[in-house]
Amino acid sequence: MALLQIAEPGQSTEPHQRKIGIGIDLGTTNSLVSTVLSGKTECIANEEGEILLPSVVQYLADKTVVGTAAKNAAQNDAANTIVSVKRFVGRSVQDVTNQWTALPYNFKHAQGNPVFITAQGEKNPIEVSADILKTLRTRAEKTINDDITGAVITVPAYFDDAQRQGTKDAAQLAGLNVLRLLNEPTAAAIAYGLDKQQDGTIAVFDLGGGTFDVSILKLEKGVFEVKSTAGDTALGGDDFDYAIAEYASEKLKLDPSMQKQNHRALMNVAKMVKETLSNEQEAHLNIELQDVTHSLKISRAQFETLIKEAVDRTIKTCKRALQDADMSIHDIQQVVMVGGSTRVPLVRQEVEAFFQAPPLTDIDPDKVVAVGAGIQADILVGNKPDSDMLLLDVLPLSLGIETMGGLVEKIIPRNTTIPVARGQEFTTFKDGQTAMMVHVLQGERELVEHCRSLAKFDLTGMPPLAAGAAHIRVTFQVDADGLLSVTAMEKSTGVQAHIEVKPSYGLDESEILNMLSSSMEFAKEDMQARMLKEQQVGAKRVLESLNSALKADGDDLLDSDERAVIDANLDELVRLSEHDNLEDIKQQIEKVDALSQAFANRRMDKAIKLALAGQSVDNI
Amino acid sequence: MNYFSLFDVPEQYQLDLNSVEQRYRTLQRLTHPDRFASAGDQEKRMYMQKNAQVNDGFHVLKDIVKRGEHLLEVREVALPSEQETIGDTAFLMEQMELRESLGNAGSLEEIMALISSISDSTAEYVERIDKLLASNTQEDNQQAGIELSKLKFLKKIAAEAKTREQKETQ
Repeated sequence: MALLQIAEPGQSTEPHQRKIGIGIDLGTTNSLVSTVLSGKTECIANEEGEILLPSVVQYLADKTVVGTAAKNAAQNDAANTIVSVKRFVGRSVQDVTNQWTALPYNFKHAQGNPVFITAQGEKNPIEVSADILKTLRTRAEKTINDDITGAVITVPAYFDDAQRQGTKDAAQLAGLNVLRLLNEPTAAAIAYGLDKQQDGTIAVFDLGGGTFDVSILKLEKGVFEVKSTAGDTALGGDDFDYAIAEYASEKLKLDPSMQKQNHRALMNVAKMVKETLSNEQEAHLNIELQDVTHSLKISRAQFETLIKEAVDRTIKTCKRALQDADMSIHDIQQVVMVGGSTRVPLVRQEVEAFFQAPPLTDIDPDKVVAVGAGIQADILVGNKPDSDMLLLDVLPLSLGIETMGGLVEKIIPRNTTIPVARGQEFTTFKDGQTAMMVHVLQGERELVEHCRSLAKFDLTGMPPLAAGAAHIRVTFQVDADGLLSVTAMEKSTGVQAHIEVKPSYGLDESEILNMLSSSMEFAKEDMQARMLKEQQVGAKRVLESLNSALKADGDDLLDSDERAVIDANLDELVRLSEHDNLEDIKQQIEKVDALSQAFANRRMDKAIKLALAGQSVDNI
Repeated sequence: MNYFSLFDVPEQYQLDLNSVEQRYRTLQRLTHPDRFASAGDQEKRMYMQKNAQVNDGFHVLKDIVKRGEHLLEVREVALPSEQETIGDTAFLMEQMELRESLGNAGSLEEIMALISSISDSTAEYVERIDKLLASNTQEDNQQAGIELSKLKFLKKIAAEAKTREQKETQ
């Protein structure tokens, strides 16, 4: 397909210049980082040889501990040691405590955005996640001994906008350039190389520590398409542990305060019991409480009774995913198992029984997502310009707005291919009305109270017109990462309404900026130097790509006046980027961008026309 | 935005959907954001917007109602208001009967029979709309708009019948 080589304007990588992309599986229980080293994707271990980094962060007064050491400390320092922080990202305190009642943390407020009070002060879930990501970034940098160009970070397919945004914010705070948020099941399918196989349909069953999702992927002529995705962001192996811990507390007659005090210890022994029961028919739970050792025998059958309801829920979700994809069980050729919890025999049995096919389990279910993310990162940094693989992703949950009577009107239905932009028109209901509030929600239910509130916008600065005369078109755009942005315009006057986005949960931009600038890692001078370097690199990139574009199409698509203006401004950019005035370089880049916008558009349209014309010829 | 020209297909109602899909894939390969993960912000934004148009265009062109409505939009024909369709009492009676039969259908066979009859009348609509849009007179364009909004009703019932069928088979 020579046609596709005509236009790859995004990838102006020079030959021989290898870039480093890393893949990160930011899990509820464990996190991992991988990269492609001499053609092979490998998970990177720390100095102790451990690949899995427990997603646990302990905040001591004078230092931050991440990983195994923090996990070991959790039992005795529960309030300062944050476990399963992924559950808090993009969520309110109540969302989490409704589900898990016995959490050992001190929250600053009983509701709203979660803020943990630790020995090191206040910490929010984004900062905690960033500490995990920083640890992985440092680990990768040490091993690869090179700068990291960018990272692909995986998220559960079912994550909503707030959770995706939170994950991206955490990565930014950790100093990572996010190439893409990739859905975990898609990453797993890539790891198995299913994208290189023949056309077919694949189900990915992902039961991790804290989240569950199932996705139906369709592969056709090198295009990987997520047909549907369904799941539960509050279901996973932790629930199995929790069920065992509850059962043990009841059998051992522990009172609630004792149970709360020893929550972590109970969860740890419950987890050991669960793991033993994956290979044995029975296990012994031993726990020492106030110098008394309690012991309890649990059989696999008993364990399976405890988790039956949770496992049934996963199968029900599989049915829903198939229905959404408009497919039946017989359409599924392969089932990929992901997540440590798929080692539980009952889970494997039920999945095999439902899909009527033995699931794929060859790749370590703990590593498979990170491996796929690493492969994708290598492609996105531009190391495989010939790669023909294309991942089309869908919106996991419908986006809608609140209408009269607390109802939700859907604007973009779930499973719509992203990126997507859809508009909706609003009108005023009072004479002279100059402002209105728009409430954006995500979810499948009809009532506002049953959907997740994403943000509230105030549309202000509308022209005062008679009731019903103003037509405000609000455009909702979802990018390839599944993140929403909104613009609004009054149609008759063309007045751009001002939008202020207040995320319902999570942080707004100024809070993120504050965290960035107060973060210890970027001391002030450091920050200045770093930003200057970034702008100089940016200028170089603009110059390279624009010069090569001009060489190819400049004579064809620009008249001599247009060309002269662009050339003059490029010369100016060359001059400015040799000096160290940050603001000047930045402004000149913006100017060149604006001046070359029309040229870039013409090039894009030309490339599209050429490719489609070639297609017509192919068809004849 | 004219999706017929974006996809470089003829401006007509009946389309070769295989060719539309092929073009969709070609356009995806050219404009998908993954191709521009390490590009500059301007390029990223430009292609993201184009890719959103490609997605929306495919969504419109493969849908028998949206495709027709888009063709009218391209021809600058205003779509009929809801009153014009609801004013057709014979059509409304027909719809109510269909809905009633679906509500009363107890067995899978009955539902399947209903689905097949809905699909037959859908085909009739498509044929009628195609003729109207091919003649491209002002009057026929307007009539096509009315037929399209009726087809929309039919599509809704077809979807409901399909859901019932899925429930029955499980």
